[in-house]
Amino acid sequence: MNEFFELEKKCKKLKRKKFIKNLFLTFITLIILGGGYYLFTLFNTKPLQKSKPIITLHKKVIEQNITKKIKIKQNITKEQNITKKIVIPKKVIKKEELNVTKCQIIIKKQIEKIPKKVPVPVIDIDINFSNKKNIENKTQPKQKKIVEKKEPKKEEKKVEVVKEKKKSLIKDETITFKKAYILAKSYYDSEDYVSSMKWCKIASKINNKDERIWELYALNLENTNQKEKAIKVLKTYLKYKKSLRLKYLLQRLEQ
Amino acid sequence: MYTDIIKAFEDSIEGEVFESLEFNMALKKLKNSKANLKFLIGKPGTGKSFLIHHLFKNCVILKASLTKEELDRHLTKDKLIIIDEAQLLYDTLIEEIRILADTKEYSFLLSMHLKDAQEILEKEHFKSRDIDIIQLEPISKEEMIRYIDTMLLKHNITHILAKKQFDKIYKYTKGNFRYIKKFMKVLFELLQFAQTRHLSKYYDINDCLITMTAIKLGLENE
Repeated sequence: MNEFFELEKKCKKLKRKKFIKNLFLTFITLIILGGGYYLFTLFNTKPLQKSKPIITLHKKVIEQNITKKIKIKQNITKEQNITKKIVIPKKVIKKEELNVTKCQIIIKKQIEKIPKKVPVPVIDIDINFSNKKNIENKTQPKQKKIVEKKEPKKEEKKVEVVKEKKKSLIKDETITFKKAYILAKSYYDSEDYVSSMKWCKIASKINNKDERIWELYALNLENTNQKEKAIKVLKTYLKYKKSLRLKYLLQRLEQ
Repeated sequence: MYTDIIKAFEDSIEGEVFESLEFNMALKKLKNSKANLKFLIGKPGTGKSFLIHHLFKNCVILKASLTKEELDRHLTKDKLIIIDEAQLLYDTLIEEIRILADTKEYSFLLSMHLKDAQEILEKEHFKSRDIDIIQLEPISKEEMIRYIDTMLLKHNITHILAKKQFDKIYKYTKGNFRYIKKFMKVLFELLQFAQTRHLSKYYDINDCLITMTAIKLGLENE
């Protein structure tokens, strides 16, 4: 019965063979699965690599951060300038508080109530350029005048700045109402009434409904000893449109 | 120890009858058919000969090696003439059987392998006639388990094979009745040898013993 032991040996061999076979099969399946997974991931990531959105996004983010930083820096410098400029008028106001009219006191109180908008009454022309709201603020011209009269040294600096602005604006071929108004106002501030009137006319051609330009034009006429003409101009405007500000100015001129 | 069961699983026509579903179906078909020429076909080892010898009592069973004279001698009108392994018959003898069946005085049952039967039945003179073909299929796994269990119970052997081992046996034998018998015989022979030698590993039938029997019968490639 050696046959039994031979069969046993064969059986063991078979078992070994089957075990190796199974191992080999599992190994192959694992490789296939792994390869498939790798290819799948590659296939999914390829379009991303081609377009490189991550890098561009990074770039964009970096750029945005840089611009933000620059803006913040600019704001800081502006704020610093503003604070510098704020300090002076406060002192001026304190000295002249007795001479200021009731209206001006009320305006000042309102400004003092708003902490960040405090610099508005004495705002420099530079700030007016950048800020629409500041341009529309009605209290500006009178207070500026006060500042200009009290500090002649800083006026020179302002005039230089105004000149630079004028140059830059004149170089720009496209003239808008805003630009013309700014130029007119800057000329008026630098007491160049003739050229201010010129720019007033240009601005009125673009938008004749804006009361600010009419007011400025009337003030220019007043300063060039043309009170009657100024009154006429104001009356013509008031025929078509209502404006309390111009009405008060007319009353003052008529007195 | 297991000599009785080994003898029970020996491949012989005179063994005990196991009425499987396939057997019963085939038997019903055979009894109900009114055709004078019947064919019992199936793969080798499906139990054609077993069925013929055990289930047909009122009949004449002839061997395929018979001659024309022998056939003439055994011809009877009352009984069913059965020819086992009919694929071995000469063509001329098959033709004569067909002619005799056409007279409707004699009825024949030709048992043959599936492949050979297909070749014979494709011939035109068989196609055009009234022929009943009964095919025996290999038994199902459940039938095989039932057969082995009944055989073992008859010899007071119980719970010797697990379900997995039955599955393995069916995988090797593929429901072939002859193979099942052979397999069980060899398996018990090996088990008996192992137990007489006091090999503790083979105290019960295990997977290794089953594969060993499969190798011995050539059902498993080495």
